Amino acid sequence: MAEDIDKLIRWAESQGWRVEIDNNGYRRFFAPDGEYVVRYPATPSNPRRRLLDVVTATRRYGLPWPAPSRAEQRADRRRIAKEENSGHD
Amino acid sequence: MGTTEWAISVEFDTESALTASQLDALSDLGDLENVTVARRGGGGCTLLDTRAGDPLQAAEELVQLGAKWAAEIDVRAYMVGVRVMTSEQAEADALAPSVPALASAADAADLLGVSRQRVHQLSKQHPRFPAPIAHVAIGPLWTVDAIQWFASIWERRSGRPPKSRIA
Repeated sequence: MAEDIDKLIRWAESQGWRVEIDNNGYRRFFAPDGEYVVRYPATPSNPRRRLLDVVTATRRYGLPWPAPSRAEQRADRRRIAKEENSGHD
Repeated sequence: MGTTEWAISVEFDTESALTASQLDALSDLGDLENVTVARRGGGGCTLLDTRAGDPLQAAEELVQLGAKWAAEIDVRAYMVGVRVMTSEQAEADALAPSVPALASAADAADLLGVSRQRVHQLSKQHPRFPAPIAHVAIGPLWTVDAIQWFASIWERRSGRPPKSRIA
């Protein structure tokens, strides 16, 4: 899950957002207009849910969310096919 | 069948835009209840929570919590919206693209199995070829969905067009 929040941070920063980590370990998301929008706790009790909350909040504040690239779509298809094949063993 | 979990978001408007320290104070209160608090575009804040049980009762509780927390930090807040959906639907919505997949002429050529030149020709001559969604330095951009739709309705004819169609 740490990888997922890091991926979100990298994406947000690539779109002009700024993410700061404060002394308590909160990752604080700032929109391109400079406004502090939301924070992600250092040790959330439900990391997946918190991540989705941050995704929802940043998207509602204007962070674009692109379709996966064709390379990512190919990788997803390969992963799903692999999972299906391993399920038949 | 397991208990359904509901993703609830409650939106509040405030008399003046929340300061960063007010948002942090609300977030501190939210953390005690595992509720995420975020700034809304245009002012105010949104509370995000996931709960099991009766969704309307859960939404009502979250509205009351938001009003109570706003009062605790001396902010006048007015509820302006509530959204309730299953947590599965909320996750699907959160991760759905907000920007459509785009295709350049080269991508469209790849999707249609033709050359780039043919794509430009089709875009000028075929009455049902999709209109571009944008024009950038490399040329027009279409949505992948529109190109795939065109591929599904396009009746390809190989060879030269008949002489009667050549001016």
